Amino acid sequence: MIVVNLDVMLAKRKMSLTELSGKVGITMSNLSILKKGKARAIRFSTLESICRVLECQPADILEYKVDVDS
Amino acid sequence: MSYSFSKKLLLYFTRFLFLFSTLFGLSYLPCMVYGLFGNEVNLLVNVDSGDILWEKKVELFGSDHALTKPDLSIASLSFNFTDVFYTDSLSTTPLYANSKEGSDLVSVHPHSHSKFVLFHSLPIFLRLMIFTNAILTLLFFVMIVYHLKSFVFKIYSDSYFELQTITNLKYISYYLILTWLVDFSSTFILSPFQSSMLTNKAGIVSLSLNFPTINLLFAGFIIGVLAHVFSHGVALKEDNKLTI
Repeated sequence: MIVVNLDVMLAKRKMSLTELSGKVGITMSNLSILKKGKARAIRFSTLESICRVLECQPADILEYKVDVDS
Repeated sequence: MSYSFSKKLLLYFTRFLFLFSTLFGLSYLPCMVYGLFGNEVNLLVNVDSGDILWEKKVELFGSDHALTKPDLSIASLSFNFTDVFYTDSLSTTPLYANSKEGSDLVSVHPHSHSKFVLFHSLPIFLRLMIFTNAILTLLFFVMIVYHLKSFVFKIYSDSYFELQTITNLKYISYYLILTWLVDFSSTFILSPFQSSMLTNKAGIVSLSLNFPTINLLFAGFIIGVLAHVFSHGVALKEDNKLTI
């Protein structure tokens, strides 16, 4: 499964979700869906914007973990 | 005519249809139960298909011999869901012939070649079978109209690709197929008893294959396929919603 570590990166950059939302141009509800791991897909453009604002790599935000249940 | 106005019109029409079908059923049920116990009611049974019709004979010229006169206006209301929409055979004036006993009425529609007998004059087991068939058909019809009303309301509320909207479509499809099945089975169940139902054997002899209409089956399948397609639309919408 793919785990979204957005909250970790936000904590590292000491940035709030509201601030990120304003800088990236994504609504709070969509960022919340992404942060909670409920999103089914993420556009490259969105990923690029987040990486640019947080000054990180996609791998810092997305991580693959073996699903124990499956 | 604007789009919102036509949607509102459709909503009110389906609401009226639901009210009408419910009242129709509620008014027919006591009449059928009354006839089921052998009491005299104005219900005619189509010998070929097992459909039940209510006929009110209106005398135009004040004749005392209403049953033997051909100049009668017949106000008939079909009990069968298919006939409500598709029949045209009832619009013609039927010919009436009294049997020797004078009590058993057999009417022959000249175009449809269908034979009709009075419901209460049939044997109890036939009455029970026809009653069950009619009640099931009526129940399915009311359920179809209910789901149609619900479906149109959701369309009116702009809930196009929602799971509940598709569920309504699926139920309409199931009930249409079930209605066809009841119609289909009743024709075959009643076919061995056709000759016993007719007391006046001097009617028109015809070799007609009275196959139940497959319009309902087609409509059921088409709506079912549409519901399946729309359910994929719901999944796509959900995917699109959760794509950031």
